[in-house]
Amino acid sequence: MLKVRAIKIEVNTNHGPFGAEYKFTNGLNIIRADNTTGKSTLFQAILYGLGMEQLLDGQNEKTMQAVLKDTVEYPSNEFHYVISSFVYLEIENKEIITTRRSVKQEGRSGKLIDVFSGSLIVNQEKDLPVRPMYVHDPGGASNELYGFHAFLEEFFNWKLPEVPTTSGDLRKLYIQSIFPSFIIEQKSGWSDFLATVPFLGLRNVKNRLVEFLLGLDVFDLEIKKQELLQRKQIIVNKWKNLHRQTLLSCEKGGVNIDNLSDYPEVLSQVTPIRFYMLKKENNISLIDYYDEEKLELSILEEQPIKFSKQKDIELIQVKLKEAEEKLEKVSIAFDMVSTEISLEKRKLDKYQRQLIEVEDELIKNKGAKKVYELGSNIPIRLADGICPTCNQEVKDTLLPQELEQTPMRIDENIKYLEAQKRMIVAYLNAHKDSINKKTRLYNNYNLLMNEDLRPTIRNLKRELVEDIRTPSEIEIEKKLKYRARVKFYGELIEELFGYVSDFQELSDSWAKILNEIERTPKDSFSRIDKQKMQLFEESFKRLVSKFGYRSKPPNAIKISLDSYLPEIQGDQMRYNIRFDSSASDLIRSIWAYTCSFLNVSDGFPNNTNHPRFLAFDEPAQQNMANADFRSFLQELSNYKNCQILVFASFNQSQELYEETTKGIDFTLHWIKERLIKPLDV
Amino acid sequence: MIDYNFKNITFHKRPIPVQPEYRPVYKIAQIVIGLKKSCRKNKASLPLLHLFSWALKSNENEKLILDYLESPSNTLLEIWNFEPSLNRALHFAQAENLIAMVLPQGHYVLTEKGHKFADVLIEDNFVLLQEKAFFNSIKYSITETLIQDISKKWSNSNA
Repeated sequence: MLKVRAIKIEVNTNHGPFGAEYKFTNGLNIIRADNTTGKSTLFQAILYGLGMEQLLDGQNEKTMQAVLKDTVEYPSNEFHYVISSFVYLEIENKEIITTRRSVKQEGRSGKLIDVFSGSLIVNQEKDLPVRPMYVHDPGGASNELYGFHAFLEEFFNWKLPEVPTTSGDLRKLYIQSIFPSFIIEQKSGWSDFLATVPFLGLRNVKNRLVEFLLGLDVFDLEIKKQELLQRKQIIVNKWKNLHRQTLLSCEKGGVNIDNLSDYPEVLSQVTPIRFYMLKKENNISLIDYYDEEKLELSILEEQPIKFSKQKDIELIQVKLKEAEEKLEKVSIAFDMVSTEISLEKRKLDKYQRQLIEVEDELIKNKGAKKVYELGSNIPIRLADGICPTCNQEVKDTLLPQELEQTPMRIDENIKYLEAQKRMIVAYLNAHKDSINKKTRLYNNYNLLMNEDLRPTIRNLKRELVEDIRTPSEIEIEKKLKYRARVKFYGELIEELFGYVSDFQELSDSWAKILNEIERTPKDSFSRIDKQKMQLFEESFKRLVSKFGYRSKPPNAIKISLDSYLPEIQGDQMRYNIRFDSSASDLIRSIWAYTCSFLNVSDGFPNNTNHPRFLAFDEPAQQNMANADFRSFLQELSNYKNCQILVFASFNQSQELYEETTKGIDFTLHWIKERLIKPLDV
Repeated sequence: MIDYNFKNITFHKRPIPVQPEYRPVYKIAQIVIGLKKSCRKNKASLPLLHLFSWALKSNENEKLILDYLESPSNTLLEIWNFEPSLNRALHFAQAENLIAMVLPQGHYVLTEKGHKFADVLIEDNFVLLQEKAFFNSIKYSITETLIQDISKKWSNSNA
C-alpha cells in the first residue's frame, strides 16, 4: 500500500526561505484550495517527488510551476526571487523513506533524487542513511543501483513484466505507465481513460498496464505463448542445419535419402529415414551395400597376393578390354546425363520466369478486382457487368463485343492464374527433383570413371608390361581401394546414424512442443481473470449510475475484454463510451473507472498490484452537479485500508464546500491564501 | 483405321482469360487517375489520353517518356499507338457519366462522379500503384502543347 505521509516544499529566495508542509492521513484527504493559490503546484510536486512528472507530459524541472523556479509572490504584489528550491516527499509502504529532489539548484541536476531511509518530515529524524539515485537516465528503469524507478519498483513490491515494444523486442513495462490508473491530474487526465500514460515505445501499453494492475493471468499466458513459439523456431533451425549437414555427408558418398524433409516432423516408425545406394541401377540400402563391400573385401583379403608370374597375359588383356568398354559406356552415359542436366536447368529457368510472370499477372488481377469493388460503390454499373445505357449484361472486355469469345470474370481469371501458378510450381519441383537425381548420377559416374575405371585401366596396362617378379599392382590397389571404401562407408554410416538419432531427438522435442502449443488455452483469460473482469464491470456499472451518469442506459454498458475500456453495446456494434457520453458523463465514467480498479483490489486481496492509493486533481470538472460530486466523495470516504487525495476548489465557495462535504468522513487540508508562504525557520 | 463409334461430339466454349488492362472498369480507372493527377483542369485531348495509355503498357514505354521530358532532343520518341480499346473505354466512361466531352475541341473532362471515383482509387493503398507512380513522376509536364509539338515533328520528318 502506498501512503504519502507528508510533503515539504522549500523555496529559498533573496528574502529568506518560503515553502509549505502538509501531512496526510490514511483514508480520504481533501486538499481544499481556491484556484491560483497553488493547488496544482502541490499536486505536481507530489508527482515530482515520486519521479512521475512524465504524467504531466514533460521531464524534470520543466514541468514545475514558476513559483518554484522563478518568483514567489507573497503577500500580494510583493515579489521574491527564487535562488533554489527543493521538494521533499515522505512515503511509506513496508518501510518509510523520504525523497529529496531539487527543482532549482545551482550545480545540481533535476534528475538526481536522494532517498533517505527514514522519516525526514513527520518524525524529523536526523542522520539518516541516504542514497543518490537518478531519474530519466537511460537505464534508469533497470539500473538497480542508481535508477530511481528501479528502486521504486522494489519499494512498491512490484515485479514489472517484460512486454513487447513497437519494434518487436521485449522491454520492461515502465513504472510510469501504471500511475495514470490511480493518479488523475487536472490538465489532461480528465480527457480520456488512462489519458496521461506516457508514450515510451511499448506496444498496447494500456492493455499491459491494466493486466498488470489487476494481476491478470492472461499476461503470463501471452508471454508463455511467445516463448513456445520461440522454442518451436529453435527446433526448426536446428533441424534445417542438421538436414543440411546430412545432405552434405550423403553427397560425399553418393548416398540417397528417403523420408527426410527439411522441415521438422514427427518421424514415422512406418516410413523411417532410409539411406540407399544405386548399385548397377538397383536400389539397395546403405547397410546392405556396406555389408556387400565388406564381404568382397574379406574375400580379397583371404586370397594370397598373386605374383605377376602367375598372371595370365590373356586374362589381363580380357580384363583390360572389359574395363575399357565399361569406361566407354559410362563416358557416354556421363555425357548424356550432363546434357540432360543442362537442358533441365534451362527448362527450370524458363518455368521460373513463367512463375514470375504469372505472379505479376495475379497481383494485377487482384488489383483489378479491388478496382471493380471500388467502382461498384460509386456506383459504376459496368463494375457489375451491366451496360450503363441499355442495362443489359455486357462482356467484361474492351475487345470488340461482337467477338464470339466470352471473357472470364475477374474472379475466374484469378482462379485460373492460381491454377496456373500451382501447375508451374509443381513442374518446378518435379524438375528440381529430377535435376538433383541426375546430378547425383553425374557425380557417381564421375567417381566411377576417375577413381575406379581409369586407374584400373592404367594398372592393367602397366601389368602387361611390367616385370613378372613384382606383385600384381592391380590386386594390391584393388585391396587398398576396398579397404578405403569399407572404412569410409563404415565411418559414414556411423556419422549418418548419429544424425538419425539427433533427428529422433529433435522429432521428440517437436512432438512435445506441438503438444504444448495445442494445450495452451486459446482463450487467454483464466477463471480468476474472468471473475476479476466481471467484478470490474459490475463495479463500473454500479458506480457510474451512482454518480449520475445519464447518457446511455446502464444495461448497455460493458467493459471490453479486448481493450479493458468501458463500451456501449449498440444495435450493431460496440464502441467506446466516450463517443456517446456528454462531457460531464465522461468525467463520471473516469471516476467510476478509477474506483473500480480499487474495488477489484478489494475483492481479490493480495491478488492484484494496486497500490491502494488514489489521487485526483479537481475531479468536479465540466460543471459537475454538486450532488454527484458529493456521491463521489462519499464513495471515496468508504474505502478502507487505502489513502485517497482529492484536490478541489469547490468553486471558491464556502457554502458549496460545506454542502458537498457534509457528513463525509475525511481529513481537511486547507491551502489558505497561498501555498508558498514564508517558512518559520 | 480404328472405328471409334462416336455418336456425337460436343464442344464447350470456355471463357478466355483477359489481361486486366483490357477490362473496361480498369482502363477507365487508369483514365480518371490520369485526368485527375496529370491534366490541367482535369481535361485532356484524345491523343494525350492515348499517350498515357501507351506509356502505362510497359516499363520501357514509361522510361522513354521520362527520358523525353528530361532531354527532348536526345530521346527518340516513337509514334505511340492509337488503341481502339481505349476509345471503347472512353465511350463506356462517358456512358457512365464519369467523363464528359467538351466542345468545340472535343476534349474529355472529369465529371463530379469521375472525381469521386478518382479520389477513391487514389486513396486506396493497394490498387494501381504503377499507374499512380507514373503520374506522380510526370506531374503536369505532358501538356497539349507538347503533344502538338511532337505531332508536328512527325509530319515534318515525313514531309
